[in-house]
Amino acid sequence: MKKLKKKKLSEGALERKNGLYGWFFISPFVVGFVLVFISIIADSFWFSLNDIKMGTGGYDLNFVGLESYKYALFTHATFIRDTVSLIGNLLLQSPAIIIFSLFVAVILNQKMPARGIFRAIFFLPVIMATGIVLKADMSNAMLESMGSTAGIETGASTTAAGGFDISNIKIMLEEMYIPTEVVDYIVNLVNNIYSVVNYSGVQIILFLSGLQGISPAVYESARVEGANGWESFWKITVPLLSPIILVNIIYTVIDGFTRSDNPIMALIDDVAFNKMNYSASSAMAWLYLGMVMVILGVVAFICYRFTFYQERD
Amino acid sequence: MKKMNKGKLAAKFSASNIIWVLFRFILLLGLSYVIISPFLQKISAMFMSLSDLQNPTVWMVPLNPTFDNIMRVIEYGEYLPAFFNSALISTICAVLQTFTCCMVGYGFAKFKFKGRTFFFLMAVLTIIIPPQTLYLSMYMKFRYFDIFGLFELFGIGNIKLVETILPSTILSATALGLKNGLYIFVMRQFFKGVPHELNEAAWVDGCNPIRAFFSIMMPLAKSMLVSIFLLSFAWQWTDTFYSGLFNRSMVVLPMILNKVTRIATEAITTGTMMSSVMQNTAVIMIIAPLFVFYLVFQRKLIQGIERSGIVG
Repeated sequence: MKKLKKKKLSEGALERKNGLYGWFFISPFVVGFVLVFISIIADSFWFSLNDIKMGTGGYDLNFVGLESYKYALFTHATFIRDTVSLIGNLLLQSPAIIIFSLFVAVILNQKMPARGIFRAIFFLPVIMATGIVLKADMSNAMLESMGSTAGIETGASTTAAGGFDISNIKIMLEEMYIPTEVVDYIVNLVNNIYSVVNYSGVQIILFLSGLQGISPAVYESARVEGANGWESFWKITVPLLSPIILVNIIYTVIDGFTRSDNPIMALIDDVAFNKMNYSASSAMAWLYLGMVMVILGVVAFICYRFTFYQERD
Repeated sequence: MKKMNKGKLAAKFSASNIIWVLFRFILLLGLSYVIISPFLQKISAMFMSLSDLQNPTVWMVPLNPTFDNIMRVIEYGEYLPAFFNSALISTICAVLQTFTCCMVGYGFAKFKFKGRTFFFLMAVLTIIIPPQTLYLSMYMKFRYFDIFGLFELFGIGNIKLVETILPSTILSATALGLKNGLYIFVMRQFFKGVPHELNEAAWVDGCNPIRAFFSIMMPLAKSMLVSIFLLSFAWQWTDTFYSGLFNRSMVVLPMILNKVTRIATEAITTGTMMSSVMQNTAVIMIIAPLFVFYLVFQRKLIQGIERSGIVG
């Protein structure tokens, strides 16, 4: 008892001293955030409260208060509807992305021929994520004229691309008395396999390097104790990887909401750069941001309780 | 000894193992096809001559293969200077970002101090805010760079930082670049997973946290750092947002896309077909170096690095 108390005391002293080191380590971010980023965010928020007129020599601001927010919420035809449907879609898609990327990462971590090539191929979606390929494809007459992989590329319909009819499988699953909701979810996923694969690039890489951190000795001793692969996956891989699983879940949600190809981001872009209504666009962005943060908060709260850290707090 | 080898060999060639290896291979092959199928057409069109493109019977395999498209992109798109500029900027930014994010992530993971949670949330916030939202204000910030009006106060006036590589460098060095919040988050999670005993042991031995960070923690995080370096390099390489915003005069690879398209539509009057071929060729030529880069670097991602002296 006495010993425990003493340890706590000394830890407190160490902590106070270490707090300074903590500030030292995070100082680059703090400096940049305070000196550069805060004013950029504040500006953007200020724009949403003003009416902006772009001129040749700069811009004029005219304070209008919450007008733009009212416009986005009550006047704009599709903003709210699209946001709600996007949230629904992403909440369904995210678990599939996490499970898929963990599965692929575990496979790509095993020894096999041509592993490097496969790993590099699974890196391609990361490159595509910046939208550069998308940008080139937008006005692409060649792809259309060659009657190409348009179906698989948009993920819109696999039936046209592969001559594979998903409705047969759907009927089969329904005959097996699997609930319609579950069947619909699976069918939806299969139809969107292209986007699931493409949204998993970063997650696969992070899982892959997370897997490197787990010492082979742990698996070795588990095998000696008689654990099979399935058991060591659930008892070793998942708990030790759980900090990275948490990042990936959070990132999947963030990425889904902020990708440049999702309908809301496209709408925000369109309102800003085509309709030249910069204040309405800022207001939408801030409203959208608020919703994303609430969802993230809930997701993080749920996941945090299942995360295992190898340290004693 | 010999007996054990035999046992291992038998396990390697057991029926279930062979089925698993085959299944794994076919699965990966199928998924790889899903990923690269959009590229296949582009790659084959890259080598097609005009007659091949107009010939409806030519599919995937060019009849008269040619390097003309590639040469045109190199010539009209100023591919080589753009390549070196991109390599320079991406390397600078990726190195800076990897290092600062590792440092900041370590600070968030292993030290307790007031304000830690707040700043950590702010770091995550920086990736939630879509860059488009900050477009105008970010440009204004670096066009008339000033810190709280101090430069103005001392009579230096504001400084024009756009059209140099400074804005990207400043943002990278302060962990505010593209997706840097993600890297900070990843590093924090990684270091949180490192047993605290390792830190304590170093400190007790008289190693201060800064030295412990460089000589123990960074080597430990090697595979994570490689991943983050690769991600940040790739994103910088293909980024159109910051390069279009800060540095229009310096030609980087993503820019040659627009350039090539414009020139192709102006000069070659064969219509949209040719300009999209040029576009596709340019995209492949932008992405190909990254693919090779990754192929080389992924060797560093191999299991077997002992995480610590302490068995978890």
